[in-house]
Amino acid sequence: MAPLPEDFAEFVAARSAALLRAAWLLTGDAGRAEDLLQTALAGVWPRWGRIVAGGSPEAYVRKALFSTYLSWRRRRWRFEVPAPVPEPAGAQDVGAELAERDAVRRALARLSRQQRAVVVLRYVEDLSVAETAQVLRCSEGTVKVQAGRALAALRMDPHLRADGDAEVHR
Amino acid sequence: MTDDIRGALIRAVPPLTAPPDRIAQVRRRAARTRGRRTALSLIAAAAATGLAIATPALLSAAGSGRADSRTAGDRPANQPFPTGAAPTSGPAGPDGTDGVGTGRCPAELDLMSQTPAVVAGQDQRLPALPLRAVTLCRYRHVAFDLSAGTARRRAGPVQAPPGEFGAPVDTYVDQRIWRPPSTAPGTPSPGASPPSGGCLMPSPWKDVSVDIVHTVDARGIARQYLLMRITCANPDAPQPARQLEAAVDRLLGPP
Repeated sequence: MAPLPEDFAEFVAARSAALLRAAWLLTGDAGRAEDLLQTALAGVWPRWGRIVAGGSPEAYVRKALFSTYLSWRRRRWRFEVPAPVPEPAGAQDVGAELAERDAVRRALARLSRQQRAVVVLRYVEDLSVAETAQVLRCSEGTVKVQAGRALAALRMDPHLRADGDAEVHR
Repeated sequence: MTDDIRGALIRAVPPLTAPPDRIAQVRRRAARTRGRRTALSLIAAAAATGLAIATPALLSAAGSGRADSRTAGDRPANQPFPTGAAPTSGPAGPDGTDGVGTGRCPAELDLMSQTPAVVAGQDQRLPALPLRAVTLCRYRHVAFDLSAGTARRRAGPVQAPPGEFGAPVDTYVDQRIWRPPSTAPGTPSPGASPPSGGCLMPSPWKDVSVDIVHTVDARGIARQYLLMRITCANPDAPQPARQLEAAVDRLLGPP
């Protein structure tokens, strides 16, 4: 098996945390998030040299992550089972933190996949409308429409509105 | 507002620890994916080879008796059977895809598929009037989240009089783009927020009726508009599709 390019390993070490965060927001589950991230990385690795030569490897990997996520609905995942993700040592969740996290996770789960992807790209990854449209391969109008619908749904979500700390203000 | 959303989303992410051997797992996945693709390519090549060998015998057997316009009774023996998807209801639409088209409503449909007509219908451009053709399809989807599973056809295809849909489609496309009051019509403000309120308590949450209006405009451009037939508890929720929905219901009946 060919060795991984050294700069690919460095990229993974440097950027995995942010990409994994996005993957968690999309999937709502740590195991599936790791699965999604590894699937995307496995897809870009064979083309890594060309990706780096073309510039913006992070943008390319991000696009691969979101494309993989959006295409997951079309098939059942049968083949890969990621290794168990170890619990962080010494982590102690407070009840309020858990409640807020669960409220946001449930609210995100109520969105469509495309809306979830738009929300993560626009408001967590901080991409512009044009950049978001490029990642999702849709029009800018679609990004605006989906973002508007997602924000409206999040504002109206009963779990978010019930918890004052987690309330999404206008 | 967006800072609140960003903060809430980031706080929601639990501590996520990388597996100690992530790079090794990525490498194994890549190797397995390559192996599967190679195997699938070999299978496809074997199937194509087998088909090329078997077809002349099948053709001569087919040509000897059955009068089926879909088989190759009058096709030269060295040409294979036509391949591709099973025919759906009606002829292929102008976008040449298997989704909804002119005179065509597939029995089952992925409502999230991005065919050229769907993509064209999502942009902000108004259709060139008068419309040349309008096809109506009605589907039922089990969940509010249209990305979950596929929808089943309930009505259509109905070829609607294009003249009755020009104004409703025009109004729908124009009004669904939110514009702040200070902006001239037709110039959406980049990054502006949608109006307050949105749809409160949308209903129903399951078994949702979805109407597809497939149009071909005066320039021959196909556009598709997807209408989720839901109601909102708040009367001030924007309803740009009201006129279009009424036009659809006159032909398909209420959802």
